Amino acid sequence: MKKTGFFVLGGLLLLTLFVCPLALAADPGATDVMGKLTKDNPIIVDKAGKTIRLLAEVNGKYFFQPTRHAVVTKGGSNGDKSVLAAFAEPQAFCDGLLQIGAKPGENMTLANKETTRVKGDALDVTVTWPGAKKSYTLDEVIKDSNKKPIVMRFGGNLATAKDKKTGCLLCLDSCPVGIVSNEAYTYGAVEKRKEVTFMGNKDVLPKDGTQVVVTIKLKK
Amino acid sequence: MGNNPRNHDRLVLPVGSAAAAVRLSAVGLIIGFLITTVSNHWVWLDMRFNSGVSIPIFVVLFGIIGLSTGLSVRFRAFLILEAILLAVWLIDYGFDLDALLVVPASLVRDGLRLHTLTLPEINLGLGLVVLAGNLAWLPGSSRRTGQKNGCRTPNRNANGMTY
Repeated sequence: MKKTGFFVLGGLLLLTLFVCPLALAADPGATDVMGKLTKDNPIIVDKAGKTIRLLAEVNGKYFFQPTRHAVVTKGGSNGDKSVLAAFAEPQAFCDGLLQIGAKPGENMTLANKETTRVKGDALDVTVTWPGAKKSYTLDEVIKDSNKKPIVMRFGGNLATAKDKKTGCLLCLDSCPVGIVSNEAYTYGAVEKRKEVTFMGNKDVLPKDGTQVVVTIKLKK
Repeated sequence: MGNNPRNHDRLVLPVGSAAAAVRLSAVGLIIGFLITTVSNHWVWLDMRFNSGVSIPIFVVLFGIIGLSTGLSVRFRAFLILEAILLAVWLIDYGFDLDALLVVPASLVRDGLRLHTLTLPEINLGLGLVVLAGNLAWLPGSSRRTGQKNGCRTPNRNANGMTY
């Protein structure tokens, strides 16, 4: 009798912890924000507006754990490691940035990564989703423990990106693989030197699995 | 043995026994979770390795050990393991229910590549699996096997069956 009580209590305790509410119903205003973005059409390049729009999904794990990846292609080897998982490939993203007139820095290599900051045209990155009050800046949706502004630059690096197959689109420290990365820190700031931690802002971003639109605009 | 009335309340299972496999799989689940949770603290490793893989690896490994050897573990020891895992999570995330509902499920999602499932669905499945793991201790109690329900090798009858 005592044992039965033990396992029932243990089971119920764990069941209570694991079981959580069902997913919310779809937002009727979804199409307004998403436009023509779908999983089959995950990137829209607006040459006139000098903007790129990417479809991505929120990864709730990084609300609670640090990462060095802001946006990574879902199918890439780092597809599970970013705050936002995109559906577009690095090639399409890089081509899109070139189409809107952005110039890549192409100054990062695997050899100089820890001592070099990414160059290239600066980009404004915002995130929004159905039901969001506004478009949020990357600084609002990703928390930097040092509260340093994120400065995204078009590094280029397409050849390395294709070789490594990580799927990295936007990295949070200067990166020789990511197409776009953060000039504010050199490579190794997160993982090796522990200068900073980045986490998704759960007070701003919607719940895990929600589709969002990441807009990248060429700064003038 | 079926004619012996003293054997009527004994559970007869194949060598190694499915019950032992389920019990050890449940132990493997908790140990896999512990290893994954602890290794997740190492950001360098988390960025390079899918630590969630430890969970299915330990479940299968322990399941095979249980199936082939019939080795069992005391229910109290299993409860202690569960309590340790819970304590580790509470130390990590405090009483932040959001974190407790997201991180373990996302580790399972990554480990098993269950990207078509939502976290609530994974949590539901995980809750049922853990409950089943706890229930797996029911049939093989010490009263039925006639010995202490500790870590032991199986009793075998003349036909090589374990009970």
